[in-house]
Amino acid sequence: MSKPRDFVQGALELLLLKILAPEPLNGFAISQRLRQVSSEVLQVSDGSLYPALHKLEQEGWITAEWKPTENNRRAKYYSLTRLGRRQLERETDNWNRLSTAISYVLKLKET
Amino acid sequence: MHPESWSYIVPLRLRSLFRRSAIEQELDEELRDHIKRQTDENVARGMSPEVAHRAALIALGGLEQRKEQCRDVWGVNWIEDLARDLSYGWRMMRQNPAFTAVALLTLALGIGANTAIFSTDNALLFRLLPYQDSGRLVQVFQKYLPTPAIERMPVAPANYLDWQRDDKSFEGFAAYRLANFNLGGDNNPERIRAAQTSANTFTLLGVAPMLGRAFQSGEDAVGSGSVAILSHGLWQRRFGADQAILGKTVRANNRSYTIIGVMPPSFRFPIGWLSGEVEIWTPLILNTSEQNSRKDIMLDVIARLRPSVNLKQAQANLDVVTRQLAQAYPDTNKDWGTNIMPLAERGVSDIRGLLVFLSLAVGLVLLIACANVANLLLARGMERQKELTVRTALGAQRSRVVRQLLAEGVLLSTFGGLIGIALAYWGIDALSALAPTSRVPELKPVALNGRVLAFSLGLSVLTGFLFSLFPALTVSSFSLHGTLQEGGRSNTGSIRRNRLKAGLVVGELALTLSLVLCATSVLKSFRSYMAVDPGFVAKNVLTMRMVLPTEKYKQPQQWATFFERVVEEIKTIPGLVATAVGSGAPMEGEGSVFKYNIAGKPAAGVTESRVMAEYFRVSSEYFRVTGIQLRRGRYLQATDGEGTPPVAVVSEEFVKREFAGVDPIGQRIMLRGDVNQSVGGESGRPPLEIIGVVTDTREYGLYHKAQPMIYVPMSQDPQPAMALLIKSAGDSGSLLPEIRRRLLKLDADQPVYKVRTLEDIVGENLALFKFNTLLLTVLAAIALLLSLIGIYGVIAYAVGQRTKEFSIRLALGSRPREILRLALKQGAWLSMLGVSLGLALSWPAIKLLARSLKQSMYLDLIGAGPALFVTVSGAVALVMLLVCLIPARRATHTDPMVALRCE
Repeated sequence: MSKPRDFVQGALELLLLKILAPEPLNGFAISQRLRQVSSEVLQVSDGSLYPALHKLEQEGWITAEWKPTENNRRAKYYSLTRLGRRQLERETDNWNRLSTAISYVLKLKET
Repeated sequence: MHPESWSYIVPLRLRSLFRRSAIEQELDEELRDHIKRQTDENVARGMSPEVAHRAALIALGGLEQRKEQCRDVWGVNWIEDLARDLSYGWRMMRQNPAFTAVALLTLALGIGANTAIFSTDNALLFRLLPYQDSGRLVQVFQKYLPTPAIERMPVAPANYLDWQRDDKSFEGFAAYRLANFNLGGDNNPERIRAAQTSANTFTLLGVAPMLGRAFQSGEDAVGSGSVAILSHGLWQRRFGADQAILGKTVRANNRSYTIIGVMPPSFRFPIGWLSGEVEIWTPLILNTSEQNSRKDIMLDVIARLRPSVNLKQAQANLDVVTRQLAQAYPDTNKDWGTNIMPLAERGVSDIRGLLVFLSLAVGLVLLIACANVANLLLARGMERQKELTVRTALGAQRSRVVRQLLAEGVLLSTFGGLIGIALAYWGIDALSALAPTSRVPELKPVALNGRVLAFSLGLSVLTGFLFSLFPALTVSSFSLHGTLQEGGRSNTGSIRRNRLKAGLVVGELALTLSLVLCATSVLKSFRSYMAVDPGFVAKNVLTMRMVLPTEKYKQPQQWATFFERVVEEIKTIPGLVATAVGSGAPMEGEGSVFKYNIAGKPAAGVTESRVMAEYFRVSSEYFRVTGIQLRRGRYLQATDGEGTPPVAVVSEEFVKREFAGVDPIGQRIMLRGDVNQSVGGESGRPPLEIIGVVTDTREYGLYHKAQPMIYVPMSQDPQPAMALLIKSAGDSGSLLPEIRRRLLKLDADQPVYKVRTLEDIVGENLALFKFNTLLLTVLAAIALLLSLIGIYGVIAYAVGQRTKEFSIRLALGSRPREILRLALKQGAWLSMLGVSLGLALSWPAIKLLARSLKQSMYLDLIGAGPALFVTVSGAVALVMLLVCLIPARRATHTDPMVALRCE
């Protein structure tokens, strides 16, 4: 088992992949969605998602595109790649297995 | 990483590398966009614009930090970072010329010395032989089982032939015998080294001649074998690189040989320091009795291992065969086994121990150099504290800072290494000039080649890591608060650093003292050996050797006659004091070893080595020429010759061994035969009467005990190979042409060789030890110099730190002497500690040195007692203290006002 920090890091990356699964989003929108989804439980600060996003991009699981927005500005939109979708499936499976195992252990009666 | 992902990743990474500014701008834009949106959201919730903006920034966690984190995630960072670090390091180096100069010099000395020694190691220990797949070639010796030290003896032919039974481990065996050929004809007699080899030798070695062909099987059978292969050097030198050489004949030792091949220039066989440069190869012809002999150990044997077999397995397999032979032939083979060694070790295993020790010593010097540079870095690190603190505050991780400091260090050490290579180049030249290449011809090809350069550069980089790691780790860990204060100095980090520096200096001193004491030991030993009386007078004596070809001079009587005529002819040359011939000059190692009994003493119950003595055949003037003194009885005279009663003169050591307390004169010696021959010299000779006792000579070398010697008149036991010794009134060199002329008059085809003076012989004996001593002394001197610089640096720095304190004390009325004492205290403490530790370290170091000397040259370290060590250690401590005096005295001159003002 890796350190608790890595654990949270892994969970964050999984969430980001999941959030991006339906449609491309830009950074701010992702942070909003993240706040909705996890809120106080995970305590992920806004900023920490950017290094995570860049990392996912380096791994090839998400890809980014600059799209023009209103006001003649532009924003960076991230979307899931095919590889990312597979990674999402894989990680989800792992996560489910892990949580099942942990729940099982927690349910054991103390003897 | 998935190949698929590459289609995304590769363009990304390339872009990061080449369009960096665009990427940076995008990152900035992205984060600012986020802040803007967050700000808008906050405003919509009711905050004022400024508060909203601030809240957004805080929520993000700081713009620059996030940027830095994102940058860290990008894959190509390290290349850029490295480039940036290196350029920064380069700037640092130029901005601090004093520091850079000292560091570079220190590193250059350390790395240069290591490079020089490694090139020697490379040439000797790791060398490649000029044969195909030389790693599979081995040499096979006979080993005398009762005495483990006798494990590299030549091989008896019948044994060699029988070993070929073991074809499990070996692809083949080859044998050879060294010989000397007198090349005759065209009034240019020349004596060259030759090797008679079995027909398959060149095939086994895997080297084909450049011209012509190698021997064919059958050409080493009895009756044939009148063919020869020339070396490239001989072909050029004596035959003018004649392209039509094949088929021509060469006359050697009065036989004609047809030249069938010429070897390529780089080819040498056999290699090894007793071989000399072999220039001609002929087939090895063994007659029937030799083929069946298990007693005449006369052949050198090499073999090629099968690809799947290693040395241990081969040895085990061959041992099976030798045991079978021991059972089948107990009287000859009972005590003999085999010893298989890699061919590459030939001639080198003798000095391997020495080389290893020197390599260790030079490694120590490098460590000392590293310690010095580390100290310099630590001192400088304190000055860079502020700069590094700011960087960390801006978000640089500690690992980044450490990486940068390491890069700077490696840059420094690489430059130092380059200078060191230049130093080594010069140093190797000097080494080669001084090296005893006549004894150890392998030392000749020592040079800077690709492998040595690679080693040197690799070592430089490693050194850089080594000395910058500690300082980098120490300097990068500090408390923000303490260091950002104005004039920030002195806190726990600084104390730890000072302790580290002190520790480094103590370590340096300890290592240096060990080296110095080792050098002292060898110096003292060398002086002691040089003072040893060799037992003869070497001044103004010229020697040369002549070997009569037995084809031309068949009878022993002819040998005696020839050499008598030589003496008669030469002694009439004006300017000569005396002329003689003998088996060899003293200390040449050309005497024979004979077994003997004393008449009337029981032979039983005596161990092998006790009944052997050195046996010299000499003419009557031999003792006069060599200055060997008479102790009892009389010298040999011209009247002692053929027909008169057999007599002998013995040495004092002989008397000590056999006749303690009894007068040896008149006793009789019975010779039992030459140890290295199965026939000849044995019983059948009448006993010798001892007629005189002479002083001992150190026949085996100045650092070996004197051997018991037996001298007999040459005419009573002639031999075809003898040395001519000539004592002249003055310098003998000028007489040489006349001597040659007269010898040619006697026999125009007879060359002389090994022309040298007795002083040369004595010098050569010590040459290797002298070389070793010189090297070790130079290393110790370098180490000492480095340590002096080291301790000076530390004390100067420490004193500099305390300038304020000293000036206050001076202002408050302290006397300069007290300041001096304070300043020196640390220096004294460090010296003492270092010297004590060094004394403790030197104990195992000298033991190691003694062992490697013993293995390599059979030398004992003599004359270095504890008193000498304590004296030298004290001297070193004193010198260190004196060096500390310089900054200490400067401290006493501090102007209080200046010190208090400056920050």
